Amino acid sequence: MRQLEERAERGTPRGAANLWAEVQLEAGRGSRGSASHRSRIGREATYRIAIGVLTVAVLGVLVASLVVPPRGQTIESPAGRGGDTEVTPSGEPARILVDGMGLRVLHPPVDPNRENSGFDLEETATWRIFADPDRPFEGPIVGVEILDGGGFRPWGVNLAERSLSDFTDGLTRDGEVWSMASASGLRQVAAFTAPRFDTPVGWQADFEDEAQAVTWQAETHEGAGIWVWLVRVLGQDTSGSTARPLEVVGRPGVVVTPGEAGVEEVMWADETFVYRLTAADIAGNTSLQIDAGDLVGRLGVADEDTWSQAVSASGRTSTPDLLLSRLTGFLTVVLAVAALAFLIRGPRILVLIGPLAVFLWMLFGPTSSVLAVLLLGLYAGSWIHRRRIGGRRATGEPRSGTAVDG
Amino acid sequence: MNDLGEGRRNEEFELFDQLYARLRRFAAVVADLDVDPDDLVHDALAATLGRCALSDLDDPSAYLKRSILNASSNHRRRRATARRFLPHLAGPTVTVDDYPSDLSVIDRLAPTDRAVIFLADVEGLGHAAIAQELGLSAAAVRKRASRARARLRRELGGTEPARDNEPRVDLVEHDVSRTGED
Repeated sequence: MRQLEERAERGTPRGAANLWAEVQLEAGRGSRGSASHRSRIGREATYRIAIGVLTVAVLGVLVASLVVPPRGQTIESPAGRGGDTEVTPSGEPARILVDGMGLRVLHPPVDPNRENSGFDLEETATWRIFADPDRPFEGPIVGVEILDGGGFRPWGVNLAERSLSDFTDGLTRDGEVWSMASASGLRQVAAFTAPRFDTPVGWQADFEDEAQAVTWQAETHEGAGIWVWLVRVLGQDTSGSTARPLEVVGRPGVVVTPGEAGVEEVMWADETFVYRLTAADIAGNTSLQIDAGDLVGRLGVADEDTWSQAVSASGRTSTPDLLLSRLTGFLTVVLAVAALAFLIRGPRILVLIGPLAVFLWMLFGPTSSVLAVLLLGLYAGSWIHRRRIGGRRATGEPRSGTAVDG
Repeated sequence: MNDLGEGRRNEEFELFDQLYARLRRFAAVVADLDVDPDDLVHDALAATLGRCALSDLDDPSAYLKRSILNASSNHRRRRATARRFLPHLAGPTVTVDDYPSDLSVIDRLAPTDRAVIFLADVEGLGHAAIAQELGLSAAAVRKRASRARARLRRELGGTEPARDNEPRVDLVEHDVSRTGED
């Protein structure tokens, strides 16, 4: 008793008035434990978390854009040439998918210094193309292959009932200038030299379903555009060949039908790339004469998520997907640790974060699962923060609080 | 609290002023010797006023005492954790006032046990009243009191721990009317 009495009286009391004044002063400054103080801490924590998440997101986008040029930008197509089409003006071609076919494999462009997959035209020096400048694919098109030795080889397409000589007879040369007789109505619409053919084949994607395979190629062009590919497709075989205009995914295109046993091909161009689509293989290695109109109707420009999924399914992983996959893997590890921590010291319900993230990943792919993980992480962080600053143990509030009126 | 008017604030202060002496005595007992009792009272008051006004509480005294007790327990727990995990950083033992050695024996009791003994033997409250003050059950209070007294007897040289219902020869006279429900 005496000891307790002595203990109860130990020290020098500061007095009720002093303590009251101190508390009032601290309350005025937003002291620890006050509701306003906790609210302020909560807001600050929220800001910091939001800034952190934003920083990570921005850094992620920057890294992705540094590794792979941005995709999915929409640019306006040339006036009068169809609607807007989603293309990638810098770096990569449009993300074309074929309805009903799965992307089997995607080839990146080869390095021209290591491999030259261009045409070998040997002595060819220059190509000149003559056509109606206003509607080049709606009438005869005549090409002249000018050889280094001084001779030339003509070819023609869309000649209908006329012969190639009807046009070549009116062909004249004045030095380096070649011209067609004005009566033919043809003017030079393109001229390009042999090195253009040395451009390696660009991106190539193969599509297939059970019975049919389609190959799509994209190559950067430098002015000559679709004419280069027309020359490649036609070669020297011009008897009965036709080239008719066709809009392909909102872009000006051409369907080329070689006169003899060739395969119909579809070509189109945007500001950066010339695209070529062929469908030649079916099961059994026999040829298939495709219906270009049907095939073109099945082409579509895919959005980035769809394209990423198609690329992933094709067995080739693009760099952004790889980064995303690694990020998701890292977050999964973090989640596993967090789930273990919650199992020991937190609300048991948060243990479900791990299985939920895996489920979302399987169901919707890595992008949505990362988003879900971030949201759940924010919630977990918020919970931990609230527990630290607002818990009864932290503020000294009685565990089983005395009833409060009202 | 800051939103209260001047008159209400004065009423709040008067209420605290009435409670202060008993709260400080309570804090002095339940706090370890290296803790200033006024600091505990201050923290309890600040935490309480951060939530509501004193006059809004059914029993401000009990509420503040529980808050003081929790704060003391937290302090003791933090110090034990530091000793356990950071022995090389703990440095020399905290210097405390030079109290009689038998007073330090009380310090070995848990804050809650100290509070029970203090409220029972010094403040003269019955077990039911203590239970209400500290938010414990009456049985828990009885058990804590019994064990704490037995330990004190052992530490102070006694050999036979007295049972709770035996005459408390070393304790203050009880107001039987308040302990009748025990």
